[in-house]
Amino acid sequence: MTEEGIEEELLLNQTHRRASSETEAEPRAAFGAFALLASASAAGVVLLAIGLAFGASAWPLAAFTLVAGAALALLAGRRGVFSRSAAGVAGVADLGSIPAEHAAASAALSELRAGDLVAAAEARPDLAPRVRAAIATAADGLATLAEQLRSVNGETATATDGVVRMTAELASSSSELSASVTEITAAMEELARTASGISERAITQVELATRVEARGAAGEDALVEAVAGVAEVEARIAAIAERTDALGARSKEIYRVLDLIAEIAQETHVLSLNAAIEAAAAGVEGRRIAVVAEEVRRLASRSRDSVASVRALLDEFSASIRGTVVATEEGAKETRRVLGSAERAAVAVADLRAVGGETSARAGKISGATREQDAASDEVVATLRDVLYVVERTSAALAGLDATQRRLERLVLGVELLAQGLRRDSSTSLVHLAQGWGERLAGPDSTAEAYQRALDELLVEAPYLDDAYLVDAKGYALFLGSRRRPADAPAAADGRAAEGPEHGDRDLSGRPWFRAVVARGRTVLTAPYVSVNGRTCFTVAVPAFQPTGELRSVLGVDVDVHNWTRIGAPS
Amino acid sequence: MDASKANEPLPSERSGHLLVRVGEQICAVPVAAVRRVVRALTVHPLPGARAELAGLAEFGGEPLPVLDLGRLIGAPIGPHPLFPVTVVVWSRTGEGREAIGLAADEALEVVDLAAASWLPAAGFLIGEALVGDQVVRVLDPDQLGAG
Repeated sequence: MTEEGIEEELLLNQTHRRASSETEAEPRAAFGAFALLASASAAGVVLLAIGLAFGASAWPLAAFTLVAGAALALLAGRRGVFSRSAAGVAGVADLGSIPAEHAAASAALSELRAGDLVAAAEARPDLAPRVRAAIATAADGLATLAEQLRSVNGETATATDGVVRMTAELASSSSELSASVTEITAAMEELARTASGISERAITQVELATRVEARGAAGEDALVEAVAGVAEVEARIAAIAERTDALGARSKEIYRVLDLIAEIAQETHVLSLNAAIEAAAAGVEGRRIAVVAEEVRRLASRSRDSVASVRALLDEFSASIRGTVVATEEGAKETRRVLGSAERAAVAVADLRAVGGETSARAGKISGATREQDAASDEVVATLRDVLYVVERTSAALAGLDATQRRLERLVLGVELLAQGLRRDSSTSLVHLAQGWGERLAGPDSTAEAYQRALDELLVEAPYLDDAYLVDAKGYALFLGSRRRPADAPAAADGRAAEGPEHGDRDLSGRPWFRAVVARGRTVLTAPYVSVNGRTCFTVAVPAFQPTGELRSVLGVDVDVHNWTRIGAPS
Repeated sequence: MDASKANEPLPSERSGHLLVRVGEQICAVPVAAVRRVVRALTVHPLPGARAELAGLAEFGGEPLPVLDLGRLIGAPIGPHPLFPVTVVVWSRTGEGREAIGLAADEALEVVDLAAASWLPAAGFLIGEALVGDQVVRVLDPDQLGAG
């Protein structure tokens, strides 16, 4: 609400205030009935306002107000008690045709309708005792109701403030919890994906390990066969070596036989030569012997040639045998090496097979564990999502609760302003206090320092006030006091420090509260509005008049809407 | 060696000879002077004797001087002999004859050589003859004892 809208929102029972400008004349009995009906209507309005503040619907209040207003108007019309007049409340006394008692009753009733219970209960000698007592009873009842209303409203405001703080903390916690749950959910989903990946890899590892184990078993069998085969080869090579050695031994025997044959052949050869020599010595007789000797020599020569051929063959055979022996020894050596390697390979394959089996078993366990972890993670994620849903619903509910609380705060403030609209003789009645401050400042002319000191003391006396200012009849601010900018405010026109949000613009004649005071000629209480400095506050403006009845000055005090519970509280 | 050709009777004087190999050289010894061919005898060297005299051997219970035929004729050394022999020959002296052993690598055969085809030689060599395409040096055993 802005200051421009205050005109329409001025509280202080404007309907009553407008009615207060009317004068009326009726018999005392009719006036008493009307006073009772008005008092009852006001009490009903207050009670319904209390109900509205605690959550009841607004329509009963509106309906009751409408019915009560209609009843009052009907009563006034039928009795001819009230008639409209352009004159204000002060004009009532000027109606010389109306008896003094009626004028006094009208004035008291006007004050009552304007909400000034103090003025309404003032002693008026012209009033009949029972009328005075009725008005005083009505004012006192309204004051008591307003006081009780303020008390309950204060408790409600305190409770609302606590709920607001708790709601804010709960909303903050819900937000943090939501973020944490979201983060944990993401982490759990990542964990579930990781577990799933690990499980798949473990399954693959199990398959690989199983294949390794199977192939290891086949390889182990093949290596066992290979070892047996190599051992057989080694045995056969050993047999070959043995037989080769035997052949070598036989070859040596053959050499000895050949040597013997060669020796015999040589001996035969020599013998044939000696025979030939003897035959030659025998002359002609020896010719036949010489022929035989020659034949023997040739046989011996052929024998020697044969021995040489056999020896050559035997040399080749022996060389082959020696080669065979060497090859056999090398083969045996290589076979032993291969056998050793095959045996080591068999051991390695057996170990590999065992490791494959163990790996398969462990991978199986890992796969099972990760599957369980995956399932557990899914359950946790599902639970976290449920929690997140609940948290989000809680946050939404808290948001709705926040709106409700703000509405409740507005209602509580409205009830407070409704109660403050009644001037009561109480330290909790802001209007009553403001009128006292106004009378204090409207005393005999004083110095500028005295006015400023009075404003400063006012801020000290009423710590719930934000600003206090005294303006002249034209709306120009004479003195300003503010607790928010005490030091660095620019100088005012009178040389004093101008404080408060309005220090830059001292012409306050356009402010709604000033126009309302000028128009009504009495104290006004505004509805909450957003001031020029951005704060939401309401203002009480108290006029002071010259002895001639002209407006002399206006005292305005601003109360922040968050400080109203401090009104009347010990400072 | 073509022994059949060597054994052909010639119109000129022909006589039987024993062919022996020493080193790469073949020598011919007249069969008439050959007493016996035996396997190489064990020779005991004689200190201070000339180089051709291999030593003394025992043959038939008697000492037998044995000459190294290879050194005697200066024949180059040939392949290692499988069955070396000692040829015991008669060498005539002024008073009679004596047996001398000739150490050779191998006794080959008995052939007839025609003296007319011999090439002249000196000393204990009577001459040189061709047996096939092989030059054969003919020994004179009687000159061995004198040398």
